[in-house]
Amino acid sequence: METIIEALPQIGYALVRTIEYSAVGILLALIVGQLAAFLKISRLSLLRAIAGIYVELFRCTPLFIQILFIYFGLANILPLHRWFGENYVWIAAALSLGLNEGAYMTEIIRGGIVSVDRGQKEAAHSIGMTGFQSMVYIILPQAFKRMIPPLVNQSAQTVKDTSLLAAIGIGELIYTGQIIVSDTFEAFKIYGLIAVCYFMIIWPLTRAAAFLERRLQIDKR
Amino acid sequence: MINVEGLRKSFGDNEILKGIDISVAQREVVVVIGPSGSGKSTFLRCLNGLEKASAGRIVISGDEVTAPKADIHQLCRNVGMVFQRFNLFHHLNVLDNITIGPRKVLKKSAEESRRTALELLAKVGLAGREASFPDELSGGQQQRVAIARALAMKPKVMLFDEPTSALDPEMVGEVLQVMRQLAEEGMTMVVVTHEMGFAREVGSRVVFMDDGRIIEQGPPAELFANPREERTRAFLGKIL
Repeated sequence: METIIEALPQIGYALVRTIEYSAVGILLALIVGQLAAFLKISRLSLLRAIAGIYVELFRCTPLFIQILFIYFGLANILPLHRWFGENYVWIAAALSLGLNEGAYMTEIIRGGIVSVDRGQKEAAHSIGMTGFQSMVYIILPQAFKRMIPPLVNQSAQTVKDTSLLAAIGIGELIYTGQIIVSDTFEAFKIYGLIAVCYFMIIWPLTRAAAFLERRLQIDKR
Repeated sequence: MINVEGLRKSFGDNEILKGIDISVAQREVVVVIGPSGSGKSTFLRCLNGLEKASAGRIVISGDEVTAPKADIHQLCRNVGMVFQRFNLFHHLNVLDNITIGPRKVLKKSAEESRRTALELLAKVGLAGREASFPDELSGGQQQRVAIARALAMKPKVMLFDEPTSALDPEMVGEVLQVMRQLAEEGMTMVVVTHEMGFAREVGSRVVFMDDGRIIEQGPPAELFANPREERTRAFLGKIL
């Protein structure tokens, strides 16, 4: 018990880091995902190809290698540490997380958009709406409701994936846990506590997803 | 009001419209009939720019839809369209379905759009249903809302693409009644339908299409009683 109480301030600090990186990662992923989804449904094949390459590149390689590559690999060929100094580690962390999760979000958002019946767009066109207006007022509001459950699931995944940032020394839960365990050898208690921390973040998220899913099924609007 | 010259439309190698020439005068109700796959719907969809013509000219109320630089969204405001599957906006209630065009496209005030919408709802016999959502309405009611939605844009021409084909038989009448009323008020209409009763009663002209061409056209009484072309006779024989 003593070990846990002593470790609490450190773990609390790490918990905040994990939540911060999760939030930044999810936000970045949503922005990148939305943009890439628009490219994927573009009429221009070049834009579709760019988005396609991005998605496949990040979906078909492990997040772990992406983190290492962006932090160590890119810094090898570009003077990134000189440009960004100490900031580069969190930039690399947020970037790799955001781009990786963004690739999955792209497919979720694109899928949501194309699942809206063609007739909706045609009806919007028939009352004189431009493509942009029909996207904003007609397609996205309907698509978004269908995207919520998978987006929440992907967000839960993002929270778990922040654990890989330990590899580049981000002081999140796993990194901090490993340091405490190497000092105290209380692996059972500390890793148990850290697992509980993740659970406390993610469980409410999955509950929210289940709730929304049920609600949207009853209320199809 | 509508002038179409040499309209052709292909999807890949498949030519659907093989040269359509037709003029529709103001206040005229043109009913287009023909077997499925004859290009009736494609013809209608070319008129409001849902499909881009491969060749030919379409002029509606003085504006050339087929002009290379035509602002199709601007032109569309003159042309209302009613779809077979209603295509009401599922996430909006009846009132918002009708007012979203006037508000967002015509930039009318919420109050003015609302007033117009309520008048139109009364006109299509759905006064009091403005707060309902599309999935709470029957097919016939949904189609009448769709007509109101199109009318809210104050179009000069109304296009109907098989407006009763997706309806249960007992609901066909209520939709045709609204269309009949519109015709009596002098709306210029092009109607693709299989409702021969409606064509006979309301149509000022019936156009028979087959295989991407207009085969024959004339006043309904004449065309139904004495079709000149063999293909028209065969088609009418099958459906009447």
